[in-house]
Amino acid sequence: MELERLKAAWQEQKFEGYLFEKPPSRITADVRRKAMEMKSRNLAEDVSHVLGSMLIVGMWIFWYDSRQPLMTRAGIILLMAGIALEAIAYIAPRFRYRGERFDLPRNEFLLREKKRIEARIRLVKGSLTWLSVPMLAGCILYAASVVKNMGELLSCVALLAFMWGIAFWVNARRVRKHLAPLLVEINWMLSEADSGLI
Amino acid sequence: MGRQELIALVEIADKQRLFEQIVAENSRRLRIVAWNNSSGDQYKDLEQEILLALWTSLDRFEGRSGLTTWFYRVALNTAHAFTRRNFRRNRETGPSAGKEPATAGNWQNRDPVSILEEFVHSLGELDRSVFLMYLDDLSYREISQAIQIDEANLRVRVSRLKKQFESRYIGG
Repeated sequence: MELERLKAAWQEQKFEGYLFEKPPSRITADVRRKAMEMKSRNLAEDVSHVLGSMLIVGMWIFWYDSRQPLMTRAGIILLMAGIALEAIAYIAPRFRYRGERFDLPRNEFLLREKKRIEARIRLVKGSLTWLSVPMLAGCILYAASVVKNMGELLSCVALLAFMWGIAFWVNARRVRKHLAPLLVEINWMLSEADSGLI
Repeated sequence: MGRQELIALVEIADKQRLFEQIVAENSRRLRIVAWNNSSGDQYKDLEQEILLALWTSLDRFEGRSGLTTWFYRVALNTAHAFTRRNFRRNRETGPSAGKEPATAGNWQNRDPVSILEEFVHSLGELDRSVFLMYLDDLSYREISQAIQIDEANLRVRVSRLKKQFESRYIGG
């Protein structure tokens, strides 16, 4: 049978390159070194995210003064709460879906990937909708307490709305162009196993 | 040196030995999986990603499945995650892009490996995995364990893949 002949040729393929030139002990040493580097890089990223968030919240604590008018203090507190909320929402999935489980059976692996992508989509959408409410309210309250007249306040609100609009558009584009197609592909792959069709 | 440190060292030594064995036994498979799930020179990056995934997954290897089955599971999951990350680029510059497709008329003049590669690249992710393991002579049981699909479903799938191949290239 022709396919069997082709299959035999396939199994006799000759290869060259790193995998076939280096001894397994050397390859193992290289992989071990890379794994350690990756671990250190991940740890550094985690620490910088947590410290960065704490630093931003800390800056606003420094700004806080109990002698300030009520509206200013309320604005700062809401801003701090908003930043903390966004930071937690950003960091939590990072820890929850830490490390990819390549050893899982295909469908379980895909379901985990799906959950991870769904969590990212929720975060991207949420960071500029309900998660941003305290921060936006804090900004407006703070601005209202420091501006001199209604015109300045309206300019501040307009600037805020403009910046929020740009961020919203960028995030929506990210979901539409990058995350949603990945989700479609994973759903298709999950259904492929059940179909039994080619 | 404390007992815990000693245990940790023994575990690392065992892990290294096992990994060396995996590399020694599966380097051909690794290249084939990487080559057939990437485009151009990307296979080198994918090879490295698979090696790293094998190393990081080794702590969870419990020996319930054979080493080959476990290898394929990790390698294919890594390869498909890699493909998803690069899928737009792959579709434009896939290995079979620009090549004249083999037909029932001209396949005999071509290198058998390139014909099989072309066919493998034309398949969806699951069929590609199945066909690669079929070409590697894995049993139905091993293939169904590696990708965890029902053995009856797998037999139908392999049979259809063979027919598809033959009708496209051999004209059978």
